[in-house]
Amino acid sequence: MTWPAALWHQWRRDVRRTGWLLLVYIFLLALAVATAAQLGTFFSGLIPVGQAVMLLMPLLVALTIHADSAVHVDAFWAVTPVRTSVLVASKLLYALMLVVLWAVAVGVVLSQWRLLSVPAATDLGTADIFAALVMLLLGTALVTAACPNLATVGVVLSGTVALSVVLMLSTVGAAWSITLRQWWVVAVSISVCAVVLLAHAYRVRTASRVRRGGTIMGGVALVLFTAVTMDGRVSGPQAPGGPVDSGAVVLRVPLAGQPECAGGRLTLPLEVVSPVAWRVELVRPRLDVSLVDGSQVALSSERWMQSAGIWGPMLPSSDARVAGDPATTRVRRTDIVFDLPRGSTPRVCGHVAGVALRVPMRVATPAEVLRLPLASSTTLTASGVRGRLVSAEVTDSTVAIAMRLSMLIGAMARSGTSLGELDYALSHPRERRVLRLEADEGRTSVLFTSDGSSAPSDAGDDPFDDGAEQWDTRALPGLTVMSNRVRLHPYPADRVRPRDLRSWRTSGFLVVIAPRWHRSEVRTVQAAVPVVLPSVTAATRR
Amino acid sequence: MTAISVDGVSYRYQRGVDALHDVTFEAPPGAILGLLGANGAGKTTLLQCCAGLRQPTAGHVRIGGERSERRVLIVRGVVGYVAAGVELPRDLTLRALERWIAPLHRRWDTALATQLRERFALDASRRLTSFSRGETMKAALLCALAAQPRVLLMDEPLSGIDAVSRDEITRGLIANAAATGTTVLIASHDIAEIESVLSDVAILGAGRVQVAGSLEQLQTRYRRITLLGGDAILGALAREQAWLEVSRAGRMLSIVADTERTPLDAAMLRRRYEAADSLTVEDMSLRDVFSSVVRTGRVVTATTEAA
Repeated sequence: MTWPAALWHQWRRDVRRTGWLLLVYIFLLALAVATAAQLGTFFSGLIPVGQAVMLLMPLLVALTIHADSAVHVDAFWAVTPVRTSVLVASKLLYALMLVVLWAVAVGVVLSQWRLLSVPAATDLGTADIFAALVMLLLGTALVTAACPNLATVGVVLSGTVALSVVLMLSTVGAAWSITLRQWWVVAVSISVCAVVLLAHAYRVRTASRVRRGGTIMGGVALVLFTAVTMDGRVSGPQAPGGPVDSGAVVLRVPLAGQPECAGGRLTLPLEVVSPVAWRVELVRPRLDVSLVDGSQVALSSERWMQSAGIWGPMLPSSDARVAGDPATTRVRRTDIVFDLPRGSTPRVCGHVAGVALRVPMRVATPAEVLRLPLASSTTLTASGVRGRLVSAEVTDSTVAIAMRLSMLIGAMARSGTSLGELDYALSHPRERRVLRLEADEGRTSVLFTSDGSSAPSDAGDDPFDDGAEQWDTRALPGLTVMSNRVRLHPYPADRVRPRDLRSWRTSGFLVVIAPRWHRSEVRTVQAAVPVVLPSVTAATRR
Repeated sequence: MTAISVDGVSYRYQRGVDALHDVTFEAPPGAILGLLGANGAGKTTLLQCCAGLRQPTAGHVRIGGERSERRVLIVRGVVGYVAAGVELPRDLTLRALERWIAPLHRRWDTALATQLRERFALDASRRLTSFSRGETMKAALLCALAAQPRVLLMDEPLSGIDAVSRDEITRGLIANAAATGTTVLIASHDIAEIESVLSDVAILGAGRVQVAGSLEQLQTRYRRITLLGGDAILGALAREQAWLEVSRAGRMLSIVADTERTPLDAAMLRRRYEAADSLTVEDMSLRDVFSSVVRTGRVVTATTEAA
């Protein structure tokens, strides 16, 4: 039997062995897709689908690993003529299948919404967390494979439950910072591993090499898990006495000029204004940097970034921070300066498509409002699961809000209007159907409102009454306002359908996605994110 | 070419326990070699080394001329391994198990598998998790035998198996396998059960081969002398040679003689101890030989270590 044939044979057996559980997993994914795509079905919120998927996945991983125990010296597979490489590849392929199924589910939802680069939309977690979790579980399952199956699965399950509870608590509690939450995750993971290893050491006869390998693998998985989940989500400086950071906004901004490199510094010119420190990543970097250290070693930009260290030199220097009153600061040209590795004199060739700024998001007081530039080629995303834009008060209906907000921005972008500032807040449910756009510069237009207190403006009726299609860009004729304030509330989710959203595809949108399991009472959300929209016609893409 | 060649194999566990010391023996094709030993003698470890499941600390095992620790896949292809500790994939049905392993074995005989299943009265549609210990053992035997191995390694194969099936396994399957050229290495405490089918025997003690040879050689090598008489005559016989084992109960003296070390002339003994009430010299069963060898082996080992 050839290697691929053996792999196929083994993998089919692994899939068959998990049988019904795998089908349940697929069903739950489908359910999550349906729930998310329809923006609220009967199951919406009643079943924590994402959680169930996250709980089921470790079971599947553990079962498939334990089915061929790697630590029992006389495991059955060890006395059959099957290659160990085939076994390992089969297990990895199985784990990959779980991730791919997950990715397909998320992809379907995203395609329904015509969204790009949104890390999560189905409560299924982000790709990196999911993949890291699978890795962690592979390692854990490997080192725990010698325990009696039921007990081990119980350990893995309880560990996952603990992990999920921590995640949930960290989300619910507004006072939990992301950093703290992630450390909790790591701590719980380590605890689970430690308990399992102890049980393993005391009770089970094992092959020491496998045990060592499994332990190392578990450690590597933990480190990777930590690195991946911590990546870019560590908050920036907090305002004294202010509320804690609750997320991050990723802002992709095109460069305003060619990058320059001199004096051990790489300078990327941008047109951006922000009162806070940024976490910077290069977007689609095609930056070839040669480190002139005598050996003329040319490194790709990715390798350079890795060698430079993501936490050190890649952080912008203080030059990139712009001081000033957020309320009055306008968009202006600024530079982001990277300190390059000591002793290196890079020569920069090529160009950078843009820069991703991770801006710590706050549950803010007005003084802490963020200003972020947007252009027609700019994507501003505030992910719900990873970088929670708002605190726990956000409900699942936030998805609908996000879609409407994206429609709003899309409409503005398409209309060719110039918007100075967009400010939105999510209000109490009793203020129903409120969508108010206020303009500065001498005139204020209340475009849409149906909160009962004021009649709809001359710009049109409540666009949500008869679906999103009515909300056409023609409702915003010649809008040249510099300050806009949009107040939205959790709108009944069944009022917006995916097919309505397709016509609102736009290159500039803001998406807010919140965990769906918070189906508690809708409260006022204090998040306020003013967004500076430069003129659409002035936006440049490199 | 020998089917199994164990050459100076030693094995030390990570925790520092020496399981095997310089074990050497060979088994020709078609032989049924009984591996006997007390608990902890190293039988299972030796079988695992033969199956390539453990890599010897020193020495090597050759299966059909191939080093078992190096050519693992080849060795697995020609070795059938049945052990009480083997964990069958219990979430599978027997049919699914057969379906899984059949393509992996080049010489898998589906008809034989079906025949064995019927012989063992195993339900192919049942999950292995619902099998009793004996049924699980039978299923493992089925998997090993249907693959038509050139070498069959069995570690306590009769464990948990009912009396009827024991006879069938020992006299039917194992003997038949050997008749078709399969070399069988069988470790068991059920000496009486397997004695009838063994062609060769190796007795392990404290990780060393105490005795090895054909069953006939062993049975002629060790003789039991029983003497009934007074104290003087019993003492005289006990001191006459360095017997393998001497035990006294009242007026009866029982002696085990290793004729290879101490040549025994029964006629001369009878003449010399005519005054005794009775003197008998008889062959020993394998079980008795095993017991004596293991007991004396322990004493020798303890004495050597103390020295």
